[in-house]
Amino acid sequence: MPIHTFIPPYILDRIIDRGSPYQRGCAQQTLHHVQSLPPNPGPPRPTAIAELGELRTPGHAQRRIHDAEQQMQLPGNLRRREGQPASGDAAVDEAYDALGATYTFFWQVFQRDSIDDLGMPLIGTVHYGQGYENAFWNGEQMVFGDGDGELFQRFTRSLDVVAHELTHGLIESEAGLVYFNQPGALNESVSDVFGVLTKQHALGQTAAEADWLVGAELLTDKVNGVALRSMANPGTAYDDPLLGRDPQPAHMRDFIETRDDNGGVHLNSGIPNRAFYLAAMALGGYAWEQAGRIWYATICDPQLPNDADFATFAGVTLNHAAQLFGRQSPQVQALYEAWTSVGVALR
Amino acid sequence: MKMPALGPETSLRVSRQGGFVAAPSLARTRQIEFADCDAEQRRGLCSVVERCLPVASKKVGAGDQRFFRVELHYRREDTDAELILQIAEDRAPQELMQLWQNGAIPGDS
Ligand SMILES: [Zn+2]
Repeated sequence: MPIHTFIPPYILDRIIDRGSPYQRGCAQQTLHHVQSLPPNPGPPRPTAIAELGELRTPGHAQRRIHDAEQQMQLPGNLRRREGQPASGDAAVDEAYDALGATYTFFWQVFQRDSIDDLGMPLIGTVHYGQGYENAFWNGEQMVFGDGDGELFQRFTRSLDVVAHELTHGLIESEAGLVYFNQPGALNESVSDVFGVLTKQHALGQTAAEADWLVGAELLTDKVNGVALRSMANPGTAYDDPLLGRDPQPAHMRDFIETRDDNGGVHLNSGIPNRAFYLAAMALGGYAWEQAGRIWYATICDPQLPNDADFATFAGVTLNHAAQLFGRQSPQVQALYEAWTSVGVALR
Repeated sequence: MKMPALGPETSLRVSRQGGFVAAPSLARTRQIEFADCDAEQRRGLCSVVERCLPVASKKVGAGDQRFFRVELHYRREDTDAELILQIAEDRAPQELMQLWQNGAIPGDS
């Protein structure tokens, strides 16, 4: 089909306008490549997952790492299955190791057997698309892009990012928080929480020792920033001419009302993120032992509505803190102060 | 869903949203005013939006999946009206991708 082009005005087009010729080339290539592909056949069939699930081994992950080979078809070619030696491909092996560390975290700390607590195989696809600057959970598996190489490196580099995506699957099989407005921001925040806890657990870090950053290993050194998000200080992770400025609020007074990004789910998650950080820091020690336990009990609580707002969620965390540690416990006090500090009024 | 009648005061906005990163600059919002387009270009833009209608969904973006948001702002019986479509990245028509990425409008000549 012949195409007529003209240059329309832009509101925000910083990467395309100011990007290097390499970046633009990358975007063009992706487009050209996608054009020549048949439609995406979608995620692996549930029956295929059930077949894999027959190999259930509580306490041991069942990992399958696929390679999309720069295409956008899932799941791609199987490159490494459970127990096989390193493949030599950095993304394949990082995904394998990171999914293993995430499984180990949930098993050792919460005795949870995988995403669904029924031993669901952990399926990951790497090298998805060309210069693809994203990672996601599609309802059945995790998918990781290589990044454009200029702003973003491959998304398997950060353990907390891999664990964040796996946690999206876990939330779907538990709280099922609706991906919109405040429940959506809670969905994002809980994924960040268990993402960083997985990393802290793997490194043996206390709350005070941890950096509380999400995606610190993803940004190239050309970007003026330390990570994609900061749970300790939302809104301060980056401030860069190409990437823009970290837009996360840290307090309810700065809550962002928007129709974009499903109601700002990746923005307003900064508020509950900071509440978790404050609670964990006040309690000290390993964050997964107290604050993490309370958050885990909260997302597994059938009483938590799937459309919970921040205040409802906060109330359920307080209930679980009281059940786990006692009504007059320092844990209840720390949580109360953490939620209040970020402006979430407890009902 | 059917396409509304679109006059010269119509504007079309296309952005890419969602995803793990969600940095402000990644949306790369493209806004096109029908007033700046000739009749053929307007037809081309309408054909892109029509292509999006069958694949649009309210529920997009879960689990950091990216999606496109297409907004038509137009006048209907002397009042402001809008049509908003959200399309999952892996269902986005090629014409929409090209419009967003390059400002390319499919033509019929
Ligand atoms: Zn997410």
